[in-house]
Amino acid sequence: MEKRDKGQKVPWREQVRQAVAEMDVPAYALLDVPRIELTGSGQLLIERHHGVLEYSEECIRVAARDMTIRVTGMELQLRTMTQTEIAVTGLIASVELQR
Amino acid sequence: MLMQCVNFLRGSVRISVQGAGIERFLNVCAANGIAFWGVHRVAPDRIEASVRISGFFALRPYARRTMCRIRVTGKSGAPFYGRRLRRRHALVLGAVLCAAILYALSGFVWTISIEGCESMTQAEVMTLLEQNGLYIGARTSGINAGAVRNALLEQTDRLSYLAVNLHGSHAQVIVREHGVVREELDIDTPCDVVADKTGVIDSLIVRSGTAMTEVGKTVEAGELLASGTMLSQQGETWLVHADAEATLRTWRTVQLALSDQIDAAVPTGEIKTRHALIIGSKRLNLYLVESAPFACYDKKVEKKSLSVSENLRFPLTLVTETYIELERAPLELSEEKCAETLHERLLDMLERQAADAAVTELDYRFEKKDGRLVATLQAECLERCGVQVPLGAADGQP
Repeated sequence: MEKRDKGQKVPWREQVRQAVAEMDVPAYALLDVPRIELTGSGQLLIERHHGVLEYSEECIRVAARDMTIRVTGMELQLRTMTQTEIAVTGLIASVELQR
Repeated sequence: MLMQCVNFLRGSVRISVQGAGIERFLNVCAANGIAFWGVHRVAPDRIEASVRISGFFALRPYARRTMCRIRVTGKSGAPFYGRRLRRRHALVLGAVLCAAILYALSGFVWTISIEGCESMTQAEVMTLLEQNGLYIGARTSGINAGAVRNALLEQTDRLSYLAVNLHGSHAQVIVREHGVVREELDIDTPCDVVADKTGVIDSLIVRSGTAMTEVGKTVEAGELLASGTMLSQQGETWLVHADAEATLRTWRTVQLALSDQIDAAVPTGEIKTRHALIIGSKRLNLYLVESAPFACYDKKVEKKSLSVSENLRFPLTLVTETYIELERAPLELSEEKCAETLHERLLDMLERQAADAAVTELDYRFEKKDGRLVATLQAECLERCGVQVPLGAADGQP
């Protein structure tokens, strides 16, 4: 464990993140972090999203905790959109995480 | 595929959403549990998406809040089809009638399968079943499988086991017949054991009585194997129920002859086919061809029953009869072919003559004699031997 200065306040999310990392528990099971699954270059599944920020056939930006997921490509389509997951299909060229 | 089926059953609406904040509209709807699929951007300010019927009715307030306009562009799924068909009264009536007829017909036995017949024929078992109320067309509610089984076992002593299983409209009857049992005398009756065939004794087990022969000796049919008369050391005579089991080594010879020039029935190439439909036990002929279309013919019958699965069969059978015209023509057979045919036939003959014998050695020979091929098959067999006869009858034939 890293040594910290006395009096430095560690956010509780950071404490949980460290505990989760030590216990080898998948982070997405306890924390509100997105889970991104890319199958080949034609299908992308994002779980635990916070909504769509931008949607066009060339670019889709999805909000997630502490970051924005930017998917670019051609003929992009929101195949499914529910409260917890978004499935994107099309010719995916890149997936960027913007903080 | 599964989701497509579910969506079809639940029904879906294709909508077009137009406005400035389409992304916000999607987010608000998704956050409130309204799922979208097949979202397609058709213009910078317009998208098309599919939504469930229940979701569609909940969309309006969110559209108003995000300043979007919704238009329905298509409807699909079972609820819409159902609504369209609701007005067609004859169709609804037909469906109800069909269901009622199916329900009524499912209460009858339409097919019966009989398994396990050996010496008894299926027709014999079927006749017995009919006498006890199990026949094609009988009501399943009126059939007591246990009672039918007991009645059949009482009526005939040829069956050792019988099971009647009703699977919907199909009755499965499984039978087991009594094996061939040797008639044995009552255990209290003094008797001898005599040979019932001729051969060399291969093994001999005497359980009761006095052994009158030994392994390696030749016995003839009717000869004593074990005597029921025993002499004690004190000179007293005891009459017992002799019991012995012997295995004989026997030799059997079967012979057949075949001419190498025979008249055979050769197809002329003329074929006539006719069909018939069997509904239940009624036959409906679908042909106008005379009953015997050729003077000399070979008839092939093919039956196809309509069935969905093992237990779901319909009493509908399509019979296809093919008549192949034949004419007699001399046929010359090669020696190898003749020998092969004779060998097969001789093996069949041997099987019929000594069905319960174990063949240990076979010797097949053939020779040409007077323009014919004569084949001889010699078989060395092991056969069970020994029958019980009352005391004093051993000299005569058993």
